[in-house]
Amino acid sequence: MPIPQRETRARWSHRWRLPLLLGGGLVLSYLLPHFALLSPYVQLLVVSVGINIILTTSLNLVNGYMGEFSVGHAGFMAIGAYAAAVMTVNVLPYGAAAPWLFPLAIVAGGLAAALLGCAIALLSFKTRGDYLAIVTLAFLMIVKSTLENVDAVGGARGFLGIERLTTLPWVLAWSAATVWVIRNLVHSRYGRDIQAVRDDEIAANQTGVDTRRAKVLAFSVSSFFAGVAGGLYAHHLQFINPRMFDIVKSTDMLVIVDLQHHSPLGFSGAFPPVPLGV
Amino acid sequence: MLYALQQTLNALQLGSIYALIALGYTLVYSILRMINFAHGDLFMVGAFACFAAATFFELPFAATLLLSMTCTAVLGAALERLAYRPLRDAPRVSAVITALGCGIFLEHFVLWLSPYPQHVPALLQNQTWSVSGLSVSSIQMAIVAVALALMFALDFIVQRTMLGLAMRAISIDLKTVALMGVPVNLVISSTFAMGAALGGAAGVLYSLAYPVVDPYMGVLMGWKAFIAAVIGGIGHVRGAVLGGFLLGAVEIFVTVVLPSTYRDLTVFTLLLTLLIFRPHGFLGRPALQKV
Repeated sequence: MPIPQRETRARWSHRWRLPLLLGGGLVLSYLLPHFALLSPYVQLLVVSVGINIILTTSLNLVNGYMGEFSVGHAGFMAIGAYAAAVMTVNVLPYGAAAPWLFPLAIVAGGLAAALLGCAIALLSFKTRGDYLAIVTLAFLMIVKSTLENVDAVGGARGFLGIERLTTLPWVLAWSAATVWVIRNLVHSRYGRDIQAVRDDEIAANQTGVDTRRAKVLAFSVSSFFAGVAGGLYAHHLQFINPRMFDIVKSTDMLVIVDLQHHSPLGFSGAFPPVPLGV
Repeated sequence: MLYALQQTLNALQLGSIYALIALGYTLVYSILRMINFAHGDLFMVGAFACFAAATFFELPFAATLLLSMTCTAVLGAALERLAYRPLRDAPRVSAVITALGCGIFLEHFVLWLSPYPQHVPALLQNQTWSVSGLSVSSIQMAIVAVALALMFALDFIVQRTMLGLAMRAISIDLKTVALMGVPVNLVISSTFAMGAALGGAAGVLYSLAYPVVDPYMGVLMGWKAFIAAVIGGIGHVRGAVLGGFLLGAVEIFVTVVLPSTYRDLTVFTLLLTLLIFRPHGFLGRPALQKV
């Protein structure tokens, strides 16, 4: 019978299109810089596009799907950047092993940010709307001023001597992982809980949705990936400074997320994120 | 004791500037439920208008103050007409992003006019009197006096005039008030103008005390004044004044005890703690949640 055959063939190509694209992309992202086929400027651009994809996709989980207005994303990014930088500079060994231990540092950065994300989620139980926006703003300012006052990480002068470990394949892999995890989360049962918080928190609570669990989940996943992006950012620029992670950085991310809502490609909380990078 | 009194005077000076800016946030919020993030930059424009008036036209203090307030009032009303009114029925995030964008536009417009920090010439003769060991400067007195006068004027307008009545009514229910024949757009425009004029006055007073103006001076001042408005309960006019003076006092007395780099840290930590225990500020009332 010809019809099922065609169906299976269509399914096959549909199934393998994404892995093939990603695998091909990974190989390309390794080969192109390796053989110097990409100008350094374009490379720089692509890396920052990737980092911005991670940032905005994760911010979209809280601001788009959960409908809470968070302006503290740059704070989570700062935590991730500093934690990852401390890991590679002070904890993990330098030298040949460093590129292989790099993911460990990135994950550590993400976990540190996720921990604080949980704390913010606990605060969001009592405050919502504009007041939650202010809580996240205060969080951002606290992170920035704390980092400025800790001399072990350079204080206001910034953190120097970070190795350049962020490569194109890593950025691609992490942004693909971010999009994959958040897409699957949003379409899961937990994701429906998160969207229920946006649509009507009280009604959701009444109908048996654990809104507290949804908030903790959304904030910690979102801040985990913000921390990952921060780690990649730090090992891309090789220098971080508390002033980089100010309200303007958060505003940039908000504008990207918001533009994406207004773009013809999607509606509120839509997927996939438009990779506006610079 | 004398030292504490001296610092209290400084706190009053800083607090009255914060309170004036915070009033602008709170006025707009109470009417439109919108945070006008460009307000800090209106404060900056006020300070620059003061610089221009004092440098190029060599106007006296009162005329400078009036000119700056008029400038920012017109600018505030124009922002409302051009940027916020078309978005009144749009999602709130769009309005917030637009406000942030207006702020960035103002910063960079002024940056284009004057890329360097500018020095404002002295508008008032600085005299210092010694009252039994306590030194009181004429600038300090002028700042507190002008700020208090403006606050009383605003309170009078809001509580005693038809315009204030319309403002208070709109803050309760915009849609119904429009049906009662109140010229809603006019009232909203004048609210923006009043808030912006207070911000402009704060800019003039600020450049009396700290006579260097630069295009980015409004960002941090704006955020801090916003915090002052939140501390008092945003949307609450008297709360904004209370919050401004409280914030000024905290900032001054923290730097007495701790190194000044810890100032922002302490202020924001206090804000966070306050929001946990009293999420609606000191004078604000929690909104009822309905399904």
